[in-house]
Amino acid sequence: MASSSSSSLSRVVVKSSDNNLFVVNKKVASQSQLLKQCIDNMEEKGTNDVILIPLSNVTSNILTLVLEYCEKHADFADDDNNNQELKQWDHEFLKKFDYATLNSLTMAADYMVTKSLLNLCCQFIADSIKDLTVQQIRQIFDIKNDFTPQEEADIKNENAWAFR
Amino acid sequence: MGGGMSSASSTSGAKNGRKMEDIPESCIAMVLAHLDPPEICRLARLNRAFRGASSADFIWEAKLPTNYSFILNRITKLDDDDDLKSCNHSSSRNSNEFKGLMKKDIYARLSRPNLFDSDTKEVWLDKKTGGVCLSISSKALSIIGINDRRYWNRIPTEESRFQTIAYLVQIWWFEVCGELEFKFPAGEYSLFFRLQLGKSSKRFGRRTCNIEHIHGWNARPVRFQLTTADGQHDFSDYYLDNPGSWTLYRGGNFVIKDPDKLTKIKFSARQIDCTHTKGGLSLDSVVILPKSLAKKG
Repeated sequence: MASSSSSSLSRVVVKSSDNNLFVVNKKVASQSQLLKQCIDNMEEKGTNDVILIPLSNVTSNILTLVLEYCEKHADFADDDNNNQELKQWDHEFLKKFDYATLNSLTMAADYMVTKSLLNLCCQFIADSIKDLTVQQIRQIFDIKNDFTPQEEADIKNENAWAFR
Repeated sequence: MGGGMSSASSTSGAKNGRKMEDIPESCIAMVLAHLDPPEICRLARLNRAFRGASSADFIWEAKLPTNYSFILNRITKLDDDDDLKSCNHSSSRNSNEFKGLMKKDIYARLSRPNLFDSDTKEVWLDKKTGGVCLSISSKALSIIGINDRRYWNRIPTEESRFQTIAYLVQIWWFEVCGELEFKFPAGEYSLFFRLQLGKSSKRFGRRTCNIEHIHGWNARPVRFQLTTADGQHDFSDYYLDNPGSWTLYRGGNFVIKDPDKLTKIKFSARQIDCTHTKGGLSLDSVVILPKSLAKKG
């Protein structure tokens, strides 16, 4: 990485919920709107100290994954989302994870406001559940049916139009 | 996905995995946004969070066609006669029918057939794609000779969306024209005439088809054509066939580039070789579908 100008921050330290510290290059951190906002705020104040950003909702394991994604995407321009190499990389990246990890990653992307990762996770989950039955999805994702019989009847009614 | 877990992910998954139930409703809605409407409705049955997420306005706003407010206007517009009778107050109440509705309810409402223009036309959305489909009754077409019962009759039937068709006994000059002014979402559309050789009816609960008047259609093809006000023109020639079954004859395709503009389309079916008569033809409607749907049949 090229050295950044002295007037602004070049890196930040991010702390995971289980208290591990990650030193993150500014360009990488900026892939997350949450981190970017923190950096911008500090720069406005004119601070040159390295800042520490605690992420109380994200564990080390998941944070590692988010940062891996951000590092890759920091090398591409913002409008380069159709880049074939990047698309391929995204797909390979998500393919490795089980559903539980994917869920955590989705929530971390939401929390850290990493829109492209969030969108990617949602698309990936959507693609993988659309051919499953309701029973299969409940089983795989460990989703409990929390409806009363009355509610189940209501849902059937309110969505009947879609299946006629 | 189903291939199982790699060692790296299973450790992180076991330790940090979140259940789908932990995911906020807004994220579930973002997942659902990637699915088509019947799938979204199906997944609403998973649990309360999915049900809640499945009605998020942003999902359905994106599924609705760009011209949906135009369609709402057309289907709630009172006919001219009614307008004269009723005061402004009641007509504005009518168009406000959709004001409080969620986008999902609007989508549901529009995906069933909606009559407009004095019940002579219908518009509906294809449920899966949200594509705009239209049907124009024979009642709204101008048919040469329609007022002479020796040539044409109007027949009530359950086989038409409009419960009535026009039946041609025989004629020399076969010509049916119509026009439509509508705002379409951008895309390519196909226009069809829905015709049947023979006159079907129900006897003792069974469908029968009277073919006694069918004649004169194999000498020359019928020309189906369309023109749009912005200069598009397309046509096809077909020999009518398939006695006893309703058939869609493609009149042509047209392209909508500007979804904000009213497009005027004129269309016709014509066989005017006056050396022979033709007859025994049932005319139901003109149908306009997105081309991608038309291909599937």
